[in-house]
Amino acid sequence: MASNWRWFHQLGSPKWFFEKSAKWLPWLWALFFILLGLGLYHSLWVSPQDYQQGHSVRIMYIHVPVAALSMVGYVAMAIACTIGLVWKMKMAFAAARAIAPVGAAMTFLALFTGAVWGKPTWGTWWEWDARLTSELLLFFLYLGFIALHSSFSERNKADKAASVLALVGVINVPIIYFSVKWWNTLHQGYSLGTGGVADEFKPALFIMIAAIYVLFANLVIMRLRAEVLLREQKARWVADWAKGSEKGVKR
Amino acid sequence: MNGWANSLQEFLAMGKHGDYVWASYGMTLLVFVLLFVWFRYMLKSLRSQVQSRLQTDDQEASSAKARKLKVDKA
Repeated sequence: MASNWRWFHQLGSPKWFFEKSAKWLPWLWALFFILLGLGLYHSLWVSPQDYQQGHSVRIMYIHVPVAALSMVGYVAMAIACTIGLVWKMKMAFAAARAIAPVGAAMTFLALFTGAVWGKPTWGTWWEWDARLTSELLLFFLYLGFIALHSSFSERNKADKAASVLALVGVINVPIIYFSVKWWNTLHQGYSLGTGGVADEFKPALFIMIAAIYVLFANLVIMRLRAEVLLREQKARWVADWAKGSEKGVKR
Repeated sequence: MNGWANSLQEFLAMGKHGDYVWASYGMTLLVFVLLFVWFRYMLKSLRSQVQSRLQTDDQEASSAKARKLKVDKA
């Protein structure tokens, strides 16, 4: 019975995560660079230009993946906060805190590449369109989560207060997602699914989405390793790790 | 598979959209490299902090022992 859930309990162990993630990261980075190489080759070289947008369509191969991850990241953060609040799992709070800066970076890039893509395509850097405004709100939610978390000196209180903010803010995610349907103002419709991009753009887009997913995971794992050390600094295994790395035996 | 450009200049110019495309890719690269460097620095800084704390702990432990020895002698 318990064996099905063993991975979950193991993930709840900071020591287990810290040791295992050191072994995962080199493979995950290798996977990322393979995907990135393939993705850039397709998005900058193989993929044709759009008959209307010209070469600016290549911005899509960055914009769509980072925008997707900005929302996926927020949902993942909210799920981690829920697990933390309901099951009092400390690693879940640590994970939420680790996701926040990476998610904020994804959101910033979605806004930036969107603006840079908007200028040649719509003739404007910014418009208070529903999609753009709700994505900007997402950026402030990430920053708010980080600011609120760091405003408490006691970590337990910080985790709880920031989690409440994350859960209230999650209502914004479906608003971003459906905004192009509900308020059909400026932003174009879905890139994926029916009526989305033409087939010749798909290989580059799918590979870049996969690459950015892996990159997101890698950066969150890196940040989470630091977060685990911060939270477990008094634990014996942390001392052992610091001593081991001094001799260059363990990383 | 063949690419679309016939020269490096044509590739870099991307029609009239080169600035926009390269600004997007460049900013993305910059942000992710910054995150990577920052997180790496965090881990290294935490490791050296733990190490220096362990050293002070050792020193305190040994000086406590030294005091004890003195007491024993006297």
